[in-house]
Amino acid sequence: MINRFRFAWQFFRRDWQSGEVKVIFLAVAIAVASVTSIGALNQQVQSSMGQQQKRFLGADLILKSPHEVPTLWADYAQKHNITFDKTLDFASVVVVDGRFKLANVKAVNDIYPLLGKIRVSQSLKKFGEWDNKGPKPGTVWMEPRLLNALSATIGSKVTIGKATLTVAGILQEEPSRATYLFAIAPRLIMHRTDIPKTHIVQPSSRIQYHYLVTASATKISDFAAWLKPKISTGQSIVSKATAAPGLRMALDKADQYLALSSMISVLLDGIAVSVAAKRYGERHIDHTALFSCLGASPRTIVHIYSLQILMIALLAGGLGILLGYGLELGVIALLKDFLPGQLPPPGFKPAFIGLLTALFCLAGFALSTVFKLRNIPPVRVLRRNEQQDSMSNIQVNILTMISLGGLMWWISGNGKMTLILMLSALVVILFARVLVFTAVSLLSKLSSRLSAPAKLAIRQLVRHQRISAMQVFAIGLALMIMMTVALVRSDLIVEWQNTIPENAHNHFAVNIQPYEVERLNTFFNQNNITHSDVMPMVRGRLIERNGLPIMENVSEKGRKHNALQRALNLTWSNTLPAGNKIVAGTWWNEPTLNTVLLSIEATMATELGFKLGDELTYLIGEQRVTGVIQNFRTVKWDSFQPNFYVVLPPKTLDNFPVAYLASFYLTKDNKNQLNALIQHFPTVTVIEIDEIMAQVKSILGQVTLAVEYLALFVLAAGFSVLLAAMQATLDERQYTSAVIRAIGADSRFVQALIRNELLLLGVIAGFLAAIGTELAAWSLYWRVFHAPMQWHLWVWVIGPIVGATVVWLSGHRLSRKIVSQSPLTILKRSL
Amino acid sequence: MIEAKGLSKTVETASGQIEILQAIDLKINAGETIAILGASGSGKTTLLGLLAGLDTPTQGSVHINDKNITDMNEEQRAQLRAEKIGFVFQSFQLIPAFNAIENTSLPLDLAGKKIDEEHVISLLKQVDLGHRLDHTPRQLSGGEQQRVAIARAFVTQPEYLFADEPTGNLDKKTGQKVMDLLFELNEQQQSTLILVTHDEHLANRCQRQLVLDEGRWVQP
Repeated sequence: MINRFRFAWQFFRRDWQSGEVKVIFLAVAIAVASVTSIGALNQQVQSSMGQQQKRFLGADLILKSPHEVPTLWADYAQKHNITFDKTLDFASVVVVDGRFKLANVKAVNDIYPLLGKIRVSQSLKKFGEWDNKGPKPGTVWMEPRLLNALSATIGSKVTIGKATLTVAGILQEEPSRATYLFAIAPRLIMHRTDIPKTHIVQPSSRIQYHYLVTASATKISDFAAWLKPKISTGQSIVSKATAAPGLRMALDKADQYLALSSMISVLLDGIAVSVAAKRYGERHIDHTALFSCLGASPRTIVHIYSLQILMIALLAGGLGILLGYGLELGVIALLKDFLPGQLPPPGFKPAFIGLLTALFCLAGFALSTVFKLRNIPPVRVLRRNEQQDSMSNIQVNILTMISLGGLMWWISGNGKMTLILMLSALVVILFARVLVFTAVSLLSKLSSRLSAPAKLAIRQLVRHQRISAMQVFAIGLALMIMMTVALVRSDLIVEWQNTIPENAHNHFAVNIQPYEVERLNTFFNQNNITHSDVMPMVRGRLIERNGLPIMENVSEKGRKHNALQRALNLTWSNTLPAGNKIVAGTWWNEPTLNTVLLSIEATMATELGFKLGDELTYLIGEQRVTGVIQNFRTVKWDSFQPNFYVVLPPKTLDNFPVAYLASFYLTKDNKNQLNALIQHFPTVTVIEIDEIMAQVKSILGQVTLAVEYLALFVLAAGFSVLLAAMQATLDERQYTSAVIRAIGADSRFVQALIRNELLLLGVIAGFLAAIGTELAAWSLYWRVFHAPMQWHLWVWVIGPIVGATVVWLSGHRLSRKIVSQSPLTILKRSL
Repeated sequence: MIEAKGLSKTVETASGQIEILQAIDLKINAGETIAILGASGSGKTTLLGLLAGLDTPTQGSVHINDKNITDMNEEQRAQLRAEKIGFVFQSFQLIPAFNAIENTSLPLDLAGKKIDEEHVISLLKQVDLGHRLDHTPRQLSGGEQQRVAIARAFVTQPEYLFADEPTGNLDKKTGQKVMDLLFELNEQQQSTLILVTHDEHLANRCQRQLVLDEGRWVQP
């Protein structure tokens, strides 16, 4: 075995010197480098985004409950080393010097916040310092709005229930704000030890208990799974996945894009390895026949080549891993301004995945070549045309596709995306041969009018249709994948930018009284403030469906739906709200007052099993309102504008107490207009969400940069395919050109011939890539990104142009290499 | 001893079946030197391939040292070739990336045997290549390449040496020198030499001459 290993190593070294294994080595190294760096980057960006989301939430998980949870739950947490801390949230009137205001009170203890920091200032005019603790016992922190509304200052005495506490800070930013985006009353934070003094918490009090949970990811997921069957009506679990749905959707797509990028670089490098392995196999046929003739058994041959492939896997894999980590470090350095503080090191997992990729890549793509080699008959040393195929090309291609699919699935963990890409690749394979055949048939008819090199180039393509189809396939597939990534990337980035457009509304005004609506609109217009419609809002609880209590008339899963646990905001409108889209039924044009019509948000309707024509009854105050579902509509929840689950026609809710709501946009420089607004409309509550939006934007910016960087890897992988495809036919082209030169053609003629041939190949490959790109993009948008698909004309123009240019340029180098050797040397070598 | 009985070989081509060898009988005694002559396409290389166990006949059998190699599988035939047979080819068949020492040691490497480098070098010196030990085939002339091939053929001290047109790619003078070395080493190692050639002068150096024509023996 040692001798065999030594021989395999010697063979590898010699093969390396002669360039036999360089392309395959390069392809594997690029594959591993891209998988490792994407893996490491993905892990760090994910971890960074996860950290930010947790800070956003203030914990890994929040368990909300209207009552205290059983002590058993806290015991479980303690037993499993999970931090489990309680905050109390309740609405209470707070008083300063006889001035009253309803506040959203949060009572915290010393370890709050578990994650993230609180920004507290001592002055309304200054940005505060970050603090990692809440207020001390006997003191409170207030939001600026509350301070203004109560005309309080630092040091003012504030009465909450029966307790009198001191204002010690102005609360500017707190974690977990994401879960209170639409809390109407301004925030006040106090220490939990002061709660008994307030006498507010009584058995009948409406208190929300928020249990903040932090631990390792595994423990959190175990705890969540343990909790899930135990939570009852009114209780809910908020995780980074359920908070801020707009952000979550953007991050989900980023996740998918990262997975797509790593899959695509694997797919491209797989193709490169596969093409290079084919050439490697062909170049070793004669050696193998000789080995066999000199006494090497088929088993020995498999051992030798397998050992050589293992060496390539380990060396190229090792180099790829080092490159991958190096590149990743470079990118982190580039992104440092966008990343929060210290990132955890990427660990060894990406290296492990990189190494497995190398082994899998070579096992899947090159071992089939090795097994073909074992069956080369020894008599080939005497008769070169003697060759036996143990596996047909179809079998090898199927094996390669299965290996590729398996590898992509394993790396991305996304079966649907893998299937889509594999099917698109399959279409490209099937089309490659047909396209080459059709193109060369058409060109053959035109060839009489062309120059001699062009004519000969077409004949070359006709004669070598199989090899041409392979090249068209490899180059076409590489182009297709690169164009798909470019297309998905640019569309995703545009979509993310649209998630929070530059002038997205960053403030909400709530509690607007009916008599203030017109004045508020005037105020907005006079001060040039961009704003939404001022929408009416009535709170109602869904109690019946088709005359039956709602809990008896929805599925078991539906019973736990959040919309049935609380009152919903109902609004009315004559027109379909901005950003909404009817997906079933019709909007009302001139509704009659005889029948109350309802427009219901589509996702909620699906989850609760509602149908058009269903009668729903809402309890508003003490009164019942019954309406018929007229339509379902989708809502853009991430629009940062007022959105509603239920919309009714105007006048249907006239008899109910109503408050209005609007969103508006203020730049940082115009922030002082807020004071004017508060002065003009003292009862209106303003919610500032600009800080939260800045956080969301920073996360999206980070993801966008990562995505742009990943495109470079796809480019490198595409280059390795091109190189492998060019190398694959180098011998054939060298021989043909040597024969042509031997019978009198000059170097320029040969160079023109090669360039013409490659130009044709490039155009056909580019056209093929355009077909594949549209197909892959259509499937990805439809099934994975759930985004509308449109035709991309540029793909059909750019594809053939880029294909021809890239292949022609690489052909330039190739043609120089081919003519640089004397025809005699090439012909002697081919004997 | 090598014995062929009723050896036939038929191959499929696009234009139908071609019978390359027809019911060939042959007996070669140990230590004998034998030349197989014939025009191009007479079937002599095919016969060499069958006798050396590189190929299998359509009909008939080949026995080497009383063992029927026709019934053996490829693993067993490979082992037999590794232990008992050496080859010299018209086109030298050297590995371009290997130097003279590495090419000569190749059969030992493939058999997983320990390489006695001194033995390898002494063989190369015997074929006058002591000054070309580190040279790769591209750095060697045709005659030198064939001498490396001869050293390689004898490195395992084979019982049987098969040579297929060993001077076919060489000029007369170089060919002469190469054959001198081949016969010298063959005599030294007392191998059985089976030489395929169309060169009668060369064939005459063997103890026995057989002539093939269209796959059948004919009188020389």
